[in-house]
Amino acid sequence: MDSTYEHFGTVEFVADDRFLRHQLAPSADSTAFWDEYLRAYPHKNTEWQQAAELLNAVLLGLTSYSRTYLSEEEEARLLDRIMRTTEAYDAGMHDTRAQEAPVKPLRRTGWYRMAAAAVIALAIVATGYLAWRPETSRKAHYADTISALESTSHVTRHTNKSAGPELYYLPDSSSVLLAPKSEVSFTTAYNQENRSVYLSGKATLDVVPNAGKPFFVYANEVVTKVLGTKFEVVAFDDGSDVTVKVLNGKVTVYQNNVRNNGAGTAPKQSAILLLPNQLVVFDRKAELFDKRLVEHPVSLPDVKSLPKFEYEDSYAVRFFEDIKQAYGVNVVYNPELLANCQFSASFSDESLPERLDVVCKTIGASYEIIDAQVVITTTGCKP
Amino acid sequence: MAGEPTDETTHWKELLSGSKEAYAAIYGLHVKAMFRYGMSLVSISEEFVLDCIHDVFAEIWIKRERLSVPDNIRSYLFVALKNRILHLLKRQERPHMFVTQEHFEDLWFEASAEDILTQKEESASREELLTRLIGQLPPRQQEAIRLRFVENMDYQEIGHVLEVNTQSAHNLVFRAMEKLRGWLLAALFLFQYSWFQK
Repeated sequence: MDSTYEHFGTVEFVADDRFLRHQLAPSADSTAFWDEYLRAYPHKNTEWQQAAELLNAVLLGLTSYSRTYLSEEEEARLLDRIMRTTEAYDAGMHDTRAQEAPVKPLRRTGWYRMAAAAVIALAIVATGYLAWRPETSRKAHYADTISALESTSHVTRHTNKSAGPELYYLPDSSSVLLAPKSEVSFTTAYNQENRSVYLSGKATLDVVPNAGKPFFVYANEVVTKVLGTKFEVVAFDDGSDVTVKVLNGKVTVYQNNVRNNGAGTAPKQSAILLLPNQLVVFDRKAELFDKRLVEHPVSLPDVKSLPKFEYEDSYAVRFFEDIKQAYGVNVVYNPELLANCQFSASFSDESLPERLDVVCKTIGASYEIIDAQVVITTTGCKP
Repeated sequence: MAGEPTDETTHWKELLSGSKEAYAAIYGLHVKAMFRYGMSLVSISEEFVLDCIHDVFAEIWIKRERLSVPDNIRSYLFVALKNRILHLLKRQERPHMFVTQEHFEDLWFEASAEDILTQKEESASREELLTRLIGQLPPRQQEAIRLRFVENMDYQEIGHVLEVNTQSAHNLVFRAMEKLRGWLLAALFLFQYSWFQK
């Protein structure tokens, strides 16, 4: 019996080639080897098992790396580009045989600065992290957020230095009506997976609807996710409150207790749904939301006959309307997006979440229960 | 460790004697991993990483008559990509000095139990927590474990990519695993297994 492994501990196992190969792709040989080993050294069983668990934990933690995905189209496009470069080079060689120096590929220069900033960020991360530790400062101030963002990406900032309100357009044509001494900013990631803007001061935002790219406003400790269109945010650094008022459409408001770098999604704690003419005030000292305005009384129809909850090629909208009627729960959705969503199902004893789960999965949507209301998120269905 | 080295070596030889098919085959075998690795070094711009991959392959074609068959093609390509990325970044004027690797590791502080508690509270899932914990490791250790556990490189190849000897490559992985194990055990004591159920 191989005595190499006699004194191995958990970490030694994980760092060992033979162990790793067996864990990732066990063969008859490797299985026989480790079975024999564990029979010979039964006291090593625990450490061996823990090593397997540690390895699985590491693999899970590396998922975001291993999932970094280059699409087939992108791969083909890049190959095409490489082939064109080599063809140009080969052609050049035939034309001017004397030419010795390799062809320098034509380059764009735009991203150089950005990429340089990224690597500086690699060096800054160490010190940046110290400052980033949550307990040192719980308040998410605008300036801190911006300097954190600037360490990793290019940030466009716009300040209204005039005495009156100023209309400013974001890259996707959404508009920001900025009050004096207020600033809005966004990174180059804006309009890629989502649309995140950072606000200091007071602004009314008119957002172009785009279900595929949710719109987030980070204002001090408050994150506002836009479901509809027009709302106002007031968040001055030296103010004691942050307020969000909906003028048109719907928004959800969260506490920004996770310092978000703009790439992630909003945290789900303390989520508050705001409808038109509702106002929420975030007390920065108490860290509490206060939904002050009178809510629109939602007049439910009298439940005279309960819906049957039987559907055959029915429209999802009908199901959500049935939910409203039967449960007296408000369901918030965009009927235009759901216009083509159909499904078949029949419910009897299922709970509300179970029913919502089934229907949302069938039509490729998702739901959240926010502030005692069901909010449906979807990008729509193909006709 | 991965793939069929003999096939790959044949492709590489054909590439050196001017076969575009072999060239495309080498590209197809490695481009996804190169992209992944490049993005882990400079996550800011896909465009930039794709440009660098383009340059690496263009250079191989241009210099093919002077090239030999590398011991390990994957780590050869990773090194070439990393060099290309660093070269392009160094060409830019930067007021900032790079912190040397040694000093950089020193700057890294040990995560306390409190930090782990914070990470745990802010993580929505076990995957997120583990991602955050790995993110607390020194960058070289992170790079070493990516190469080890995702790219399936052996210590010699990891050493090649990280420009250290095989023993140091082993030490980087070993220290990373020691730290993670410590943090996970601390997490277990603090939360009494509750986080495993997430």
